[in-house]
Amino acid sequence: MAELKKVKLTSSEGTEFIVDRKVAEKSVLLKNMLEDVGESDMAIPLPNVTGPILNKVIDYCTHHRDDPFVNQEDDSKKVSDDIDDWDAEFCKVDQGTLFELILSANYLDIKPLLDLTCKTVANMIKGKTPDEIRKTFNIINDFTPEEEEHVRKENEWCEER
Amino acid sequence: MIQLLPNELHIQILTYVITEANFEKFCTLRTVCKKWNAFIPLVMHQVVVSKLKSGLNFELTDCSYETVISENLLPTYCDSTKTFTFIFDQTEDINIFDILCFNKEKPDEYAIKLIALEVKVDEESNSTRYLRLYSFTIEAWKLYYILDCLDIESTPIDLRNGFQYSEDDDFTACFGSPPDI
Repeated sequence: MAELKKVKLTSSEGTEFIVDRKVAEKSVLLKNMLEDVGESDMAIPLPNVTGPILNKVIDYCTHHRDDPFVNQEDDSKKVSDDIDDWDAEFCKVDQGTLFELILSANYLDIKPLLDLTCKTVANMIKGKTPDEIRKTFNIINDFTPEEEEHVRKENEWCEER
Repeated sequence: MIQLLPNELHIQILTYVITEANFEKFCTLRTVCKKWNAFIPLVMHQVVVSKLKSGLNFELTDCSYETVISENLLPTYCDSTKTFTFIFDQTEDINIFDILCFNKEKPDEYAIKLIALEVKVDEESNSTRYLRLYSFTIEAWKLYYILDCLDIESTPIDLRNGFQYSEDDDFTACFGSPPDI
């Protein structure tokens, strides 16, 4: 049996991670880099990803290593409640980690992870009032009273009933 | 921290939210903050376009004339006026006197704005005014409301003031999927 090829990745703090090439290739960014570089023992630096987040990303890619490749242009209906149990458990993290995962998935170009994390945030928004959303995500209401009134007036059609 | 996400990721998240909320509920999220006030109409516009791409056509009916159906073109959206404009394939002229009742007491409350008035002069020099429907413009929120109603299999008759096209009027507007060909 052929030995599995390994790839070295370095997080922003310089922590080194060694992963199977198949796992690393779940990232389109890494897949393209590995194809360009060819066989090499050099570590690939990932300055935008911290060690703990890279660790989580590797956990995700390892679990989903045998999943079929998702077409980037796939325009199927976006549904936010089709999350399986493992993925739901994976996303039970604090908000800071969740948003860092979104940014890392976007940077590393891992579409299924980006979809999963965005869906998780969408589920945190659904069913909440604007005020509850501001509290949940610590968003400052930056409208002046006049501006807010103007938006409310434009929104009368949906607030009257 | 959500506010630190790049715009495209912010919009992607909101796109997931709208798939399971109707336009009406989704629109209320505009008041969260200025950033969301800018993103929400963009996401709504994307969803309207994707619904219309899936075969939704507009049909305009005048009792005494043939039904007019919008061309298979996507509407154009104007952000400054927040309106959608549809193009109609109109081959028949409609005598203006037949549809004056459509434009009666509170024209601003009607969803549809008719475009183009033509004057025809016959051989005996009598002139008649005709309307030719090239397009109509509809305020975005009214279109969202109609699409919400379609989603719950409601009919335009159920719509509120400003939307009520009753059977008694000579001129009605209908919205729905075209029949299978």
